[in-house]
Parts: sequence; C-alpha cells; structure tokens
Amino acid sequence: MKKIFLTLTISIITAITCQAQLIHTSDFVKVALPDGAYKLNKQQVDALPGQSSLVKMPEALKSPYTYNIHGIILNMNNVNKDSINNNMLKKKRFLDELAGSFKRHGNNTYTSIVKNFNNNHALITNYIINNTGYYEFYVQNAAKTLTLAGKMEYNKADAAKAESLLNDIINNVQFTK
Amino acid sequence: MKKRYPKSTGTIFKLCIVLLIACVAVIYGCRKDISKLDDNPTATITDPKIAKAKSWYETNYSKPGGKPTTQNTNAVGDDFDLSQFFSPNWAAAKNYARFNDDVIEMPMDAASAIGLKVGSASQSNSRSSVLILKRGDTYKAYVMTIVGYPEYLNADTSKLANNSYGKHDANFSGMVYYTTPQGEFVDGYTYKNGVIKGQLVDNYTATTTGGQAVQSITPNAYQAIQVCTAWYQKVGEVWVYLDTQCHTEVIEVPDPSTPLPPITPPSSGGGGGGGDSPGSPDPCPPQGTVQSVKDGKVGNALKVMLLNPGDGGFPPPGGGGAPCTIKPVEDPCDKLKKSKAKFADSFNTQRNAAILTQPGPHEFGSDLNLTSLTSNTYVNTPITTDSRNDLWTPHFTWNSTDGYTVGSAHKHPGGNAPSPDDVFLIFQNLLNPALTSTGASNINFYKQNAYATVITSTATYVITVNSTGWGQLGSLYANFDNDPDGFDNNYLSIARDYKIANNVDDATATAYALNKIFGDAINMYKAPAGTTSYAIAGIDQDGKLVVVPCP
Repeated sequence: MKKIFLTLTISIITAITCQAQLIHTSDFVKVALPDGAYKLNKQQVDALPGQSSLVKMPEALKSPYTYNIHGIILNMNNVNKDSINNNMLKKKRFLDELAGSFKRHGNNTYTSIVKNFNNNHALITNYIINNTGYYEFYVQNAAKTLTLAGKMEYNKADAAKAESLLNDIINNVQFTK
Repeated sequence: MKKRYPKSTGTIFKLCIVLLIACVAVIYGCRKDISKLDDNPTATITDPKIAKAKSWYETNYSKPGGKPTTQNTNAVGDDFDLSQFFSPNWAAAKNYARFNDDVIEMPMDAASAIGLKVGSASQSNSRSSVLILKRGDTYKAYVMTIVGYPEYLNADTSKLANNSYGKHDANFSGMVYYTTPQGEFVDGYTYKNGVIKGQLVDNYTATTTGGQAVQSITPNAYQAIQVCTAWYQKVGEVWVYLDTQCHTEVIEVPDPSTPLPPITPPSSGGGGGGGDSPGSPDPCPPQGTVQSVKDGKVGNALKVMLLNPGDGGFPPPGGGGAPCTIKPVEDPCDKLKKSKAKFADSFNTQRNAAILTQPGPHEFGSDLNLTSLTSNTYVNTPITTDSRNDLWTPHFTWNSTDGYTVGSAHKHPGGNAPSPDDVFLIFQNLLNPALTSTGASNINFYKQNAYATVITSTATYVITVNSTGWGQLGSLYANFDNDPDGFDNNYLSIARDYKIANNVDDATATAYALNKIFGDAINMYKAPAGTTSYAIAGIDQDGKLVVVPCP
C-alpha cells in the first residue's frame, strides 16, 4: 500500500505543479511560448507600469495579445498580411531614424539587426530606457507575405534572460499559411 | 468463501488502477494549452463568423468564477467589471455589415439581465445588447444599452426591441449608451423623435456653474449637463444595484427639450465609483484633433458629432471621439492663411527646394531669419549640415544684423514627418536670452510667427503653435526635459503601433504620433513636395490621421 500511496502522491503533485505550455495562436501563426507564460487580461495589461506614459496608447493601437513570462512582458500583434511595410531593411531604417533621438540625448543603447531564423527572417531592435529594456521584433516568412510584430519589456537586470527568451520565441514562430 | 482474486493478483490490479489514474492526471496536467481561437466549442452555433466571434469574446472576457452570484454585486470603483454580470445570448446573435465593420449583435441572456437607470425612469426602460465589431482581423466588443424615454415607450417596454445598432425607430426618443464589456464608458447619444440631440462624453472642459456648464462659442452654442447612470442586475424579480458612473451630456442649444436631468447617484451599497466626480469634470488630456472636420471640411473648433449617421442606425461606439475641443481655439485654417505669408513665400519655397536637393543621407537645413520685424523678407542664411542622418543643428539669432529667426527648415532623408525635437525647437527658441531680453512685444511677435519646416522627398511639413497652445507646449517640454528618452519612447511606440495597426507608411505613422502627443498645441500643415498647397494634417473623429484642405 505504501507504494501505491507514494505513486499516487507523486502523480498528483506532478499534475498540480507541472506548468502548462501555452501556444499563442492567431490567424496565420502559431508560437509555442516558454513554460510559465500566461496571458494577461485587459485589466492586468492596464495595470502594467508601461501603461503610465504621458500620452496613453489608444485602445485601437494596443497589441491584442499580452503575456507575462517570468516577469517579462511580451506583446504580440496580429499578423500583417501583404503589408505595404514588408521591406525589413526599410523598416529598419524607419526605426533607426526614430530611435536617433535617443542618441541625441546621449543614450547609445539602441541596436537593430536583421537576421535569419529557420525559414523566417527577423528584424530586432533593442534599447534601454530608465532601467527598462525593450525588444521590438518583426518576424517575416520567406515569401515576405506575412509579418508578425511583437515587443518585449524587461527589467534591465534580466537582459540575458530576455535575450534568451526572445530567441526562443522567434525560433518558435510557425506561419501556418 | 472463495476469494475472487488471489492476494497478489488483487494488489497488481489495484496498482494498475492507481497507475492509470496517475497517467491520466499527468497527461491532463501537462497537456499543452492551445489557445487557438477556432478550438473553442461552438457546437450550437452554425454561422462560422459568429462562432469565431464567440470564441474571441470568451477568450477575452472570461468569467473565472462562472455565473455571478449575489456576492459579486455592489462592486464599485475600479474593481467593477460589468462583464461578470451578464452573458450574451449567442443563439440569438445576428450578423450584418455596417460602416466597414462586420457586426455581430445579440441580446443578453434572459437569465442575466442588466439594466441602466437614467434619471427618474426605471431601469426596466433599458435594453442591453452585446455588439462585436470586426474590422480586418481586429475584434472590438461593446455593451450597447438603449434607454427609452417615457414619451417614446408609452409604458410599453417591448418597443425597445424595435431598436438595434443598425436601425432605430424613426420616432425614437431616449439614449444609446456604449461601454466596453467591463463597463468602461465609451460614449453615448441622446435622441428626440429620431434625431440626435446630445452626446455623452467624458473628459469635458468647461467652466461650471451650479453643476451646469454653459459656454457660448461661434457659430454654435453648447450646453453641458452632468448625467449619472447606474447599472443594476436583475436577480429574480429584484433589481440589485451594481455601479454608478457620471458623464457630461453636451447638447446644442437652444434645445427646448433637454431630455435628461441629472440624477443623484444611489447612496446605498457603496456605489459611486468608476466615473467622474460630480461637478468637476476631468480636464482634457492633450490629444491631436482636427478641429471639427465634418464631411471632409474644416469647420470651427468643435468636435461633437450631432449628425445622424444617415442609415437609420445609431452612431458607432467611439465614433464621436472625445469632444475635448469644446473650447474656443484658433481656427487652423485662419492660422494657415496668416502664416503662409511667411513660411510659404518665394524665399522659403526656393530654400526648401535647395535643401531637398542636397546629396547624401545626411540632414541639411537652414535658419529662416527675417530681416526685420516689419517685413517678410529673409536673410540669405547658409544651408548647413552636421553630417549626421539624425540631426541638424539650427542657430537662433534675434538682431538686425543676423536677422530674426522665426523659423527653420531641414530635411528628413528617411521621409519621416517632424519629430518632437523639431517641435520643441520652436519652444526652446522662446526661452533664448537673445529673444527674452528684447521684451514682450518681440516675444509676442515670435509666438505669432514661429514655425518649423521639415522637408522630405514626398512632402513638406510645417509646424506652427496655436496662440492658445504655448502653455500646453511648455508643459510638454517640461515632461520632455525631465525624461527625454521616456518622452521620445512614447512617441516612437505610438508611431510604431499606428503603423502596425493601420498598415500605413512611415510619414503617416510619424505624423499621427506627433499629432497624438502635441494635440491642440500645434498645427501641422502638409503640402506635396515642391508645392505650397498646404492642408491640415490631423487626427479625425475615428482616430485616424487625415489631411484636410482648407476652404
């Protein structure tokens, strides 16, 4: 009987503590998110520190999907299909020019890169403001017809964890069309 | 009695049962939570559009605790979540198209009726529906509540069902009231005999007297009245109070039939949270608006949509925007006429063209210095560069030798519209000792004539400051000065997200972001490259950037 109870106890504990893996799915894309990810509802999103900027983001512009992954906030947009903005290098120039203001203020943390992940390629920007790190990413399929945009916010101290997480996410992007 | 199983066999059997349970538990606990929209059960719904909308709705407005209980009632303040008190009746959902939206409209489930009390009328005089609007891939959900006035209902509340989002009775008198599913106020309209008479808004700015605010402005006069609405839930035959919100109703006057007197919020149940404080409406936040763009024309400084949509239905939720511009502000077209004499004269036009032709990826620019305060002629200043892609440094002067710097023009090689830094340059010059030491009349001259021109390969942008906008600009500058990176990150995020959400080009996204941040403090004028056909670039009532020519 001891063995039975032991087996039963271990199984129940495993079932309770085992973290469910979340898969982000919307039209044209599927992304397996790391263990521990959970989706935030609107009230939780509104309560995030990043929502207290001077001019609030209009509701219509907010990312429809927000996740918390071990304290790192991940936002995902709907996939843009056949976007007029599907040129990654042009998009990079756009973001570089906008971020030029950081450099003018003496903040030289901004970087941007276009690189390949599996069959997709991605534009990634990264910068730090007031101890908060920001990743923005655009993952595009090989045919350049589908683009998934997202961004991550993290504590500067979690930079290594955020980078690893970003790579995981981008590697896991699967366009379904 | 013979044992059915020997002892050893029984143990093995029990062990097998336990292992089976354990396996099921492990598999269940560790299964992937696939949040694919299409996977939600929609067995009773045959229309795939409705099934998908249901799935989206239930993903975003779930009820963690299941059906609400009486313990949930009397929730007030920021914790109030209306969606916890009703369930949409998906079986009665209707799907149709309106205003470029795919509309799904359905009544509430009869078992979870909610009511809206306005004035002294009973909450039974209201009927709430769930409205889901899908545009492109984006869903938005609202609770639409129709309140009938006694003169319309004539004691027959079944008439409420005659009205829907897409069509209302021709003689409808009452109110349509939009909130998010959680109960966050969006906007609303009051009707008299089928005609819109007023709009419910938040964030209204006006001088109040005795609970009412009256402000006369040309050409229309508007009256603002505080209106409080209270949510109730029907439990059996009893209405249970949930929450109160107060808004401002803006009515064009003279209106002999002001429909809604303000009501006193119920004092029981700890109600009263979740809305504006009575008698002290919130000040308008800075936000970009084209002053009263109606039918593609720029009118006076009003942004209240008192026009019927024209198809027999109610205005779309949020369609009226936040009419924070119910205050006399400078007509941007008047400002354009006055300012064009300076920024669109032949010298400026030639200088803009010369800057645009400068080769390479760097920014080039030129100061625009008047030769005197009484003429429209300019000093022939040089075109300069810092040899950088993201920076051009102007040089302000205010004397009869070097000229009086009222403006500057520089190129954005990447094609973006003016940036916050470009706007703040105008404000920084106002603080320059070379100007401030010359006295009030010089400062006023600068304020009336200052501008910043940004040239791209496709367009020329000019920024001027509204005569009433210097204070707001100063306040924004203080924010910027305190945290320039945070300020610019706000701008960057808005531009980026507008671009993603609306699939627009760089120039449109940045022009939107600038308008969104600086709002009424500035005017943005845009002309096709090489021309002086300036039009107003601003944000319309739908929250989109529009370029509107002046009459």
